[in-house]
Amino acid sequence: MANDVFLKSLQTRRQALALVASAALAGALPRGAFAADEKVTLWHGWTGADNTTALNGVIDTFNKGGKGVTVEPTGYDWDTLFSKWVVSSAGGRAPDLVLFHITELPEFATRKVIRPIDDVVASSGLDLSQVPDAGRTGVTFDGKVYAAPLDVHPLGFYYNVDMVREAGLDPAKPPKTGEEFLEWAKKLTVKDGRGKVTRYGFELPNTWATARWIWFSLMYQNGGTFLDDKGLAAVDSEASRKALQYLVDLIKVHGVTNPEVGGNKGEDAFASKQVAMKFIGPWEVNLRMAQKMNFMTAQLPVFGQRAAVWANSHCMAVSKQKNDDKLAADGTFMKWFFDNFAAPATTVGIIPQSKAVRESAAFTGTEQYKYFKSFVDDLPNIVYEPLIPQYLSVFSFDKPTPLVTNLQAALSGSKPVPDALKAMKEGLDAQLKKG
Amino acid sequence: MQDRRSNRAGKSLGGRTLAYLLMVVVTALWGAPILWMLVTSVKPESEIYAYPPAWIPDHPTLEAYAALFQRFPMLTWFRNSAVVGILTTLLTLAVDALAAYPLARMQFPGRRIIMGVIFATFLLPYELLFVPLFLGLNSYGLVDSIFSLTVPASANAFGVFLLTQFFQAVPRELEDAAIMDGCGRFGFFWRILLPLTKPGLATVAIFTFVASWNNFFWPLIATNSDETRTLPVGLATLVGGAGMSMKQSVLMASAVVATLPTALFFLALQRHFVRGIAATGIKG
Amino acid sequence: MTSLASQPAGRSRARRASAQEGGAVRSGMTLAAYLFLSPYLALFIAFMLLPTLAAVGISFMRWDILGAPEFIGLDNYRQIFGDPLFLTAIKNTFYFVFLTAIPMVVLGLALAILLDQKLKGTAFVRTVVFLPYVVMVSTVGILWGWLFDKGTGLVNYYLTTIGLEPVAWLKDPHWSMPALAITTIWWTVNTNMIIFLAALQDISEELHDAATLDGAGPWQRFVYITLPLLRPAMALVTALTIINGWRVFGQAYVMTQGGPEASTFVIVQYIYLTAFQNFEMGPAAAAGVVLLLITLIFSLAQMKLMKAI
Repeated sequence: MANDVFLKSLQTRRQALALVASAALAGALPRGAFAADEKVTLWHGWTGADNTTALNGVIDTFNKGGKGVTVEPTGYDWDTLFSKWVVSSAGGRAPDLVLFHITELPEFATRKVIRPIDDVVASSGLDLSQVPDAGRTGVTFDGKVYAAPLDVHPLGFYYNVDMVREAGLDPAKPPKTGEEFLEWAKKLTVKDGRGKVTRYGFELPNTWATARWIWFSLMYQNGGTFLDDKGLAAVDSEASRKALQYLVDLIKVHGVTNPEVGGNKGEDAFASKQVAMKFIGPWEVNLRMAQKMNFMTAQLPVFGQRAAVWANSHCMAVSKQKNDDKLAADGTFMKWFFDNFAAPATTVGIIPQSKAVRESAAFTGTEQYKYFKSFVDDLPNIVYEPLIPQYLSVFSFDKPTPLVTNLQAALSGSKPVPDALKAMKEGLDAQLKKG
Repeated sequence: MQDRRSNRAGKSLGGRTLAYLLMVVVTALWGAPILWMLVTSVKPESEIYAYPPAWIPDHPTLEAYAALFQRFPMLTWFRNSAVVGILTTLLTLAVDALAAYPLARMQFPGRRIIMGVIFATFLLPYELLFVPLFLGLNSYGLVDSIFSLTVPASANAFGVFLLTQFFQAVPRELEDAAIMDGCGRFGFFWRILLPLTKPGLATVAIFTFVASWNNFFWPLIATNSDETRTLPVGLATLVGGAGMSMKQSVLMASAVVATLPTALFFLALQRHFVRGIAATGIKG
Repeated sequence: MTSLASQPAGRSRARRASAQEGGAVRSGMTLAAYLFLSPYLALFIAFMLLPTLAAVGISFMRWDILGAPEFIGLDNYRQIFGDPLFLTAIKNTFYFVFLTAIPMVVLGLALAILLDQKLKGTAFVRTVVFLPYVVMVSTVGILWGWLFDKGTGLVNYYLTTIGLEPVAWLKDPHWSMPALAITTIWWTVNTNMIIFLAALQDISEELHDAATLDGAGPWQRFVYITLPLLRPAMALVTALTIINGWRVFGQAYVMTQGGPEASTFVIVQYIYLTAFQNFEMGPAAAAGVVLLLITLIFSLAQMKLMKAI
């Protein structure tokens, strides 16, 4: 194929090029750390100044700990991490360890860019029994363990304490049911003299993934599931329809939220006081503290007949290499990281999977913990999105997938809820059958 | 170029007032977003969403810049980007100028085909070329090096097109005379053509440098560590994707830091730049 | 670009007639020409042409980057044309080209005329207008994503101060593409302005002076002298604007990810996601080839049209 021609054309100048390259490489690459240390590369998506600092700080401590292993972390934003990883794997330049989301694991295992690590877990002594069942199931694919589950980040309930007080509500008693929530939302929605809303009770943006996570949680609270037993989409179920209709009613009937307000970029509706309540993961705790907001967190209210809350997790896996030379070193770091996860968890804003770490003073003693507590309390109720090999294309954030497009259409009112869900099911089924 | 302009606005006061008015509007529309970026970068996080929007921060701070420079190998990324940008620009100028000379001023079989093929590759989205390019370079161990960041980018179609235009504007007689004097084609190219088209070279230099400095996807694919990555690839790790909260001030500070060098580069070459385009074949 | 590419041939024809040289000289010239071209051609073939041919080849294969490619004929083309999302992308991109083409050319010219005046401050304003060009695409996307926000963005803030209703620019499918077009115009109209500025400065003063003496007003001078002389620049600017319009990606990706309700999903985003998120290189390459053909057809049509006017 064309590729071969391309390679051949380079042949003639190969030596000259190699010379230039090695000179450049010698100048550009870091000198190897201690000669005795085994070097392990780690790719992750914990971007942002604070997150990177936290991670690098922890890794620095490890590197100086005389364990005979030096870890070199490199950050990518999540979107490009996977592209970069797959292309690099094809070129035999994959990193040793990769940090990603638990929901993506089946896809990577199917693409064979990661290897099972039952042997590494056993030899390193990583204690998976510390991890709740959901987390252990999440890292298991085809009966084999593929990664170390590090954290959980469920959806939680943030509210502005000042606004709650102003509305005559008690910030110490956040709503626990759908009715109570609606009452808060109505009281927290403020209108000006001409009846124009100046502040909404609740944030439900139709961009990005927040609305999807909320709908997903409510669907499970109503007793529904995302997939049926045949592995096809069950999003047209009664539970799903009720969940989405509830959200649409918040917009259309009650007027307590507006899908055009808020989102994930600069349009920070919570900080700019355009909304009083929002549902989002624990990763916003540090940001809200930096913004000096008077806020509090609570468990997600139960709108349906049972508690359920969307969550995801980060996990660390071993990228497939030509040989297993570095497995021992990989395991050494993986176990150490798993056991010393309190610091990165606090700065990134995620809850450690390991019970021992979660209950350690290093985590519970932080000033962030009063906000993290409600997320910890919700851990028994977490639900992961389906662990399927088509995860990235079905649940993509940055593509008008059937899921995203139809959800947006329902929230904006351009499609009635049943029609949107029917179209969504058709689109999803086509994607799911492809895999 | 300003000196030889006559006043076309009409000499009336009304015409001039209108022109100034429009200039103020244009400055506001084009300048405000950039200014907003600067202002936001020196605001503490708690002031970012003040309403109504504040153009002057209550408590200006350089915290965001400190976060950038203390926590990220910014200087390394800066150095890498500068080295890559300068090498790419020099290489592009050399190679593209050599190619543009015959394309602009010589008759030879294959000329039209070469122009056509160069043009066609210009139309294909570059994103598609990266995987074959990566695998090709990788099999020669050339990935993650200055080579992979500079040399492939210098086979630049746009530079050849622009320089072809500049070179055509140089009068034929000059070339005939130079060759008659025994200067030779290369002598003419080196001693007469290039000095005469300096503005053109400045134009291509700016386009190439800005493109190289801002290039994201290829350097992302082609580099593997903090030590070799360029500024945009490094800065992308600040922005974050799903589930990563970010500070607006740090984002904007990173934008300012990334924009500054190219802005300065442009300001330094700006005079040549406009004049450079004026010398192209695009005249009436 | 098209006009650039086509120009040398036309000019050199005249040159050839005047400087007819013997066969020996001409073959010497051929040799010299290829000597000059050789460094560029070597790099071009290795790093542009071969990857391009590889991409075209991949468009006939099934390939997930990690495995071995497999030839499947035209299946990838059938797949993308059967994919409603690809057709949406073509439609959206066409809409974007439609929205940007005329403003980019007209505004580019208007700015050039304004800043061609012999007035104090034009150099400063030119610099301000040109500055956005050096800003990275991700920055442009983040900045304007915020400026266009309904509640916290400056755009709506100033619109409401003059009494207009706030618009949910990026969250309303009817406004998202216009918002993207405005962003793009702010970011790149300056290159068009610069080209027009250069062309304007090449129009001789004497022509204007003579016309003024003949009693022509400013508008008549503009229509009968300036505009016709700007035709080559106009052709170049139009071609560049249209080609770049079809290749729009970065700002759309950062600002809206193609939403809401797929209203800003464009061809290059389709290519990017198919290739680097689904790792289906075949359909991605096929979409790239389709994009190449579209831009080629538009460029040729535009060239013909410009010649006819």
